Amino acid sequence: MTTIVSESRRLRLPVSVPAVVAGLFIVLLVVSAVLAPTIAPYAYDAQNIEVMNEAPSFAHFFGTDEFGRDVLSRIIVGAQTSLSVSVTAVGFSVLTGLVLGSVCGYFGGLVDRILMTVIDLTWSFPEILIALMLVAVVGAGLHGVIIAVAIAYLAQFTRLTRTQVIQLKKEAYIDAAVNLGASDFHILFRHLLPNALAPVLVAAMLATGDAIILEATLGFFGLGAQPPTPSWGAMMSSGTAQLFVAPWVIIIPGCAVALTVIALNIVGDALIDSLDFRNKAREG
Amino acid sequence: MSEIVSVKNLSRRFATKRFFRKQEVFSAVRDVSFSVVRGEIVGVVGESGCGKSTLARLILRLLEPSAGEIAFEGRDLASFSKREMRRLRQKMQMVFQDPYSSIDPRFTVQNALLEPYRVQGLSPGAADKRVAELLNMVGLDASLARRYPHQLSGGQKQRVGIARALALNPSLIVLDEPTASLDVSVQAQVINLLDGLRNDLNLTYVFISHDLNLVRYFCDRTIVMYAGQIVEVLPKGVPPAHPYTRMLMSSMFEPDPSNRREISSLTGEAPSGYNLPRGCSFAARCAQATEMCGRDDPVLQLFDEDHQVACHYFREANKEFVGA
Amino acid sequence: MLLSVEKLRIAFGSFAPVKDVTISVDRGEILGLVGESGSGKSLTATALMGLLGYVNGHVAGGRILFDGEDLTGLPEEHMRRLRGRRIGLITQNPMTSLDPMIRVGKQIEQAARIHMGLDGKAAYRKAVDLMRDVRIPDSQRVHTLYPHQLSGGMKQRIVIAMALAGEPDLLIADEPTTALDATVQAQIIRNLVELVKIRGLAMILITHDMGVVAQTCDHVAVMYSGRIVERASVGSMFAEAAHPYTQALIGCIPRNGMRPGTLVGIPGMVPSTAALPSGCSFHPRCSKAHTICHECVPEFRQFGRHVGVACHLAGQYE
Repeated sequence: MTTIVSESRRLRLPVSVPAVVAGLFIVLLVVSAVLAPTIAPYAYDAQNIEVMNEAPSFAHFFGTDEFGRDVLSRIIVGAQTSLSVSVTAVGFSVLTGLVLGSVCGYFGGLVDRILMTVIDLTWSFPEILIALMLVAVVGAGLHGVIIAVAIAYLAQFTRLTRTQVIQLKKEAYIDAAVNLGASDFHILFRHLLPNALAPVLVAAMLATGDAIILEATLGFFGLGAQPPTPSWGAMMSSGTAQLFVAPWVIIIPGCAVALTVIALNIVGDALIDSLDFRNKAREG
Repeated sequence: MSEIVSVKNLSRRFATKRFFRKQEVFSAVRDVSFSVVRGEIVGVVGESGCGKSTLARLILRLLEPSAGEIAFEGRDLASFSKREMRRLRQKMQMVFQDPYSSIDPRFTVQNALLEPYRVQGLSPGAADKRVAELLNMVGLDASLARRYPHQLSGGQKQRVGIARALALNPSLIVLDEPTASLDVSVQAQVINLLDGLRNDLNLTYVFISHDLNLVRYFCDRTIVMYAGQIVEVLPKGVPPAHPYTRMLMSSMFEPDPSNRREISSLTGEAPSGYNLPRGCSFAARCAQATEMCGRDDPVLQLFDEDHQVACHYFREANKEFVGA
Repeated sequence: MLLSVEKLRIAFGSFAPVKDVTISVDRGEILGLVGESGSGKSLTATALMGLLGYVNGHVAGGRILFDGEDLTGLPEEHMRRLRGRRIGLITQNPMTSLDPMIRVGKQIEQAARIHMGLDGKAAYRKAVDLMRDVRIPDSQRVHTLYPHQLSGGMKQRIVIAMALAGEPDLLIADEPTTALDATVQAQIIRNLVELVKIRGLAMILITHDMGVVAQTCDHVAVMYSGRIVERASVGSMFAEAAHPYTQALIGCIPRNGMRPGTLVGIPGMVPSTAALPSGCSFHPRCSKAHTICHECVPEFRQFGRHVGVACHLAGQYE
C-alpha cells in the first residue's frame, strides 16, 4: 500500500497556487528592496509641504505623510531596512544555533546541560522582552535591533538542531560511519548537519516573518532605525499622530508587514511539504 | 586455528533515569564468554531483548562494555586509543538490519562506497573502477553507482551495505539480522551471496538472527542467547540439549505440512532485563525446572565436543531430540 | 460457501494493483493468502473488510459474496454492521490497534457492547471469558491493565479477543504474528488454529511465511504482484507446486536439517506494482520462462474449487 500513497503524492502538484503567489510576492519584495533607491519614485526623505497628508493619488500611489514624503518610496526603502535587519539577524541566529545545537546534541553530557539551561532561560521570556532588554544594553539603532532579534531567536534554532541531531544519531548510517572509523568532525559535518539542515532552513523562513514583526515593533517604540531612515515600524509609529487625518500613513506599512509575514509563512509551509528528505527516502 | 575474536565475561548494563522514579538498571548482556575462529561463521540466535544486538555492538566497540574484555586478533580492544581504534575498524565491519536507514539518504551509492576510504584517509585507486568492482562483487550493476538509496529496492540497498562493509578488506564482519527486513525470496539471495563472499575473501562472520533455522543452516556454530546470557553453544548438525533451544526449535514453523506439530506446552515469555529472576532465567517457562533451578544460576559447561550447555540437568537431556 | 471472492479487481483511480482475485473459504477452514511485499494480499484483506474507501481505493470489478450477499455494492452503514460483528479483523501491529489510554479489558468490553449489545456484568464476563479463550493467564488482573503494561504477545492476544468479541463467522488475520518473537508467534498461531477449529470459524490468514502456512492452513492461495498465481490444498502445494513462483518460494525457506548450499533464492526482485513487466509478471525471475510468458498474461486456469494455476507452462515443463 505504500506504493499507492507515493503514487498519489507524485500526482499532486509539487507547489500550490498560493505558494507560487506568495513566492512571487517575496521575490518582488526582495528585488525592490535591493533596487530601492533606483525604483522609488521619490527620494524617501524628500519633504514637500505642498502635499502634506495627501490621500493616495496617481502622483503618490500610497499618499504622503505629515512632511509630504511619498509613502510608496518610504515603503520600498523601508523594505530594505526591514528585510536586511531581519534576514541578517535570523541568519546569525541560524548559524549560531546550528553550531550550538549540533555540539549539544552530538556530544551531550555536561556541556549540553549547561548550554541548554542558558538557552532555555532566554526562551522562557517573551521575545519582545529580551529584545527590549538587549536594546537597552546595546543602545537603540539598527545594530542593537539586529543583535536583539538574533538572540531572541537563538534558542529556537539551537533546540531544533539539537533535537534533529539527537534523532539522526540513532540512524544506522551513523553507526555505519562510526564503524568505518569516521571522526566526530566527519560525522557531524558529512552526515548530521546536512540531514538536519532542511527543517532548520524552513524554520528560519518562518522566523524571518516573526523577525520582521519584532523589528517593526522595536521601530514602533522608536528603538530601531533612527529618523530619517525609514522602517515599517517607525513609519507606523509616526503615523499614529495622523491616524484620523491620514490613515494610509499607518495602514500601508501595516499591510506591508502583514503581507510579507503571511507570504513567508505560506512559502515556509510549502517547503515543509516538499523538503522532507528523510520521508522521501523511506517511501522509495 | 587462530582466534580472531575472543570475548571474556562480557557484560553491559544500561541505566535509565526518569523523573520521579528511581534509577532502573537494564542488564542487556550478562557474563558472556566465547571466541570466534578465523574463517568460521558463528551464529547468535535469540528473541528480541535477549541481548544479541547489544553483543554485536560490544564486539565492534560501538558500545563500551560495563565489564569484561574483548580481544581482537589477540589484542585487548580496551588498550586501543581512540585513534588506533579508528584505524582498527578497517578490519572489523558491520552490516545492519535495516537497509532503509543504513545508507545516508543524501549520499549516492558511489559516495556511500567511497566513504570508507575518505574516513580512513586511504586512496581507493581509480574511484569509479573501485566502485564498479565493489558493486560487481555483491552482484549489482555498476550503473547503480549514481543512484540515491530511495531509488533502490530493499535487497539492492542491503547489497550496497555489504559492499561498503567489504570496501576496506576486513577480516571480520558482524551481520546484524541482515535479512530480517527483506522479502523471503531476496533473503535467500543475500545468504547465498554472503556464503560466496566468505569463500572468496576469507571472511569470518558473526551472524545475528532471530531465525533459528536460518542460523542453523548458515552457521558453523550457533550461540543461543536468553535474557542476556549464553544458554547453549551448538555445533552444526548437533541436536540441542538446552530446554530453551528445544522450545525455540519446536516454535519454528517447518515448511512441511506432512509434519505438523501438535499444540505443545509452549508458555510464557522471556523475563525483562530490568527485572531478572533469581537462578536460571528460563526456569519459569521450563517443564523440567526444579527447586534448584530457581536458586542457582547454571553455568555454561561442556556437554560434548564443542557443545556447551548452561542447564543444571543437561546430562539428563534426551540425546535423541531432533526438534520434532 | 461462507465467503467467495470472484474476479476481484481493486483500483486507485485508473491504477489497478490487484486484479482477478478469486478465493473462497468455508466454516472450519483456514485459507492461507501468501505473498511478498507488493503482492496485494493486504489490499485484498482491506477490500474484504470494506475499508478500501479509507485508502482512496475502490472495487473496480468482481464480487465478494459473503453468506450469499454481495458486499461490493453495500452501503457503508450496512457494512459497518457486518464489520467486527460477522467479519473480525486481526492486524499486524498490536501496538497501534489498541487505544493506549483505555484499560485492555474495557476495550474488549466495548467491542462486546457494540457488536453483541452486552452491558455491565455481561460485558465484563464476556471479556474475561474471551481473555481465557486466547489464553491470557490471570485474566481478571490483566483486565485492569493498560496496553503499555503488556508485552507484544499479550497485546496481540487482546486484539484477537476483541476480534472474537462479536462472535464473527469469518476472521481475517493480516500477518498476525510478524512483529512477534518465534516462541510467542508459535503460541499465538496455535491458539488461533484451535479457536477456528473449535468454534467452526472461517479464517483467512495473510502471511509471507510459507512455514506458518504449512503448519496451519487447509488451502493456500499464492499472490504475486496483484494476481493469484496458484491455489491448492496445503498438502499438494508443498508436495507438487505447479507454479514456478510457488516452487521457488518454498525453496527459499531454510528448514531444519537442510544441507549447506541447498538454499535457492529467486533471482531479481519483486517488481513495483506501478511498473509491471509485460506478459506474466514473474517471467523476468522465472527459470522456465518461454517467449509466450513475455507476451501474454497467463489466464488463471481453475481445476477445482480450491485448485488452479496461472502459468502458461504449468503441467507442460515436466
